Amino acid sequence: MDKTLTEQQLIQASLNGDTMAFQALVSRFEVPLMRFLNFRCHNQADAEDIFQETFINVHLYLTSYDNRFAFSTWLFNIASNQVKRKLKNRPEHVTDSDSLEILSHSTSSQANQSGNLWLKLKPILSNQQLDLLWFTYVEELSGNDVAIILEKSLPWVKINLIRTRKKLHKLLAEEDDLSYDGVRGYAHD
Amino acid sequence: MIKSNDKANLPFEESALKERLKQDAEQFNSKVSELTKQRLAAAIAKQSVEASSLKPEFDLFHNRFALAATLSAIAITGFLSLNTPERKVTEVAEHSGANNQTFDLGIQPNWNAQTLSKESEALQKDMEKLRKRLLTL
Repeated sequence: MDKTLTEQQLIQASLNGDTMAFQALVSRFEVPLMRFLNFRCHNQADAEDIFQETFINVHLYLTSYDNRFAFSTWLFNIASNQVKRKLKNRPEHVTDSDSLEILSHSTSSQANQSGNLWLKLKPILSNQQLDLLWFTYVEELSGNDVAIILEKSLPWVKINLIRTRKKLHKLLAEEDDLSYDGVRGYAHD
Repeated sequence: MIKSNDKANLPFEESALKERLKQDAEQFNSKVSELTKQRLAAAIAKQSVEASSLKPEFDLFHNRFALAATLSAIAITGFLSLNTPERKVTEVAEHSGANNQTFDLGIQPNWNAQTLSKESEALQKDMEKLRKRLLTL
């Protein structure tokens, strides 16, 4: 498949029944989607199940995709709903061992599990706040796009972003205090 | 048209935090397993077939495949384990997992192990014909 084809060209070819074009579309979004699913799921198996379900739904409803929006916005909206459905009856927050299980599959050569800020945020933020932060800072999506993904209004996104950032700053302030105490402790020893 | 000019602006001094969030997110990167990719490809192919004119052939193939699997299960768990090849499907039903659904697939209650064996051979030929037919369409 021609790598220079645009996202819209791949979508059009997929709509015309070209399965190779659809595979190319899957490959193009594999990394960001799996990264999000690994972050939100309790284990690699759940993440892969939702990855599969998301693209099955994309293929099934591709004719209803509105190309005024970025494909990634639509994709993450479907994925986010799949995550909610899959994890509906699970505890809101994962345990440390769940998170470490996910990170053990990481392809990152610089994995620093214990210091991962996202893992520290999981116990103190709701799933919606985590998604909000993720799509804003990791995927660098606009407020409008995040609102579409989370099926919320733009004012909701803006207000909750402020609240979430406050919690983030509090966490970082505590982290700073701890490291300062650690230095003092070392000096006393 | 939705504009994308309202990105959440971070003050300049927070750029390091933004960088850390991005870097730590990278630790969640992983590849999708080959098995998941194969399952996805199969599901997409099934959807494509079901949306096309091939649906009747596909349904027939699906039915034959289910029948083959059931015949196999009956032969193994029913007749062989009981070591009574002359007995009929209905007599070994509770040991073989045969039920109303089994008979809906076309298995006759009076079939015995020998009949099942012959039917299985016929079914295999039938499925091979169907497979070739699907490939040429």
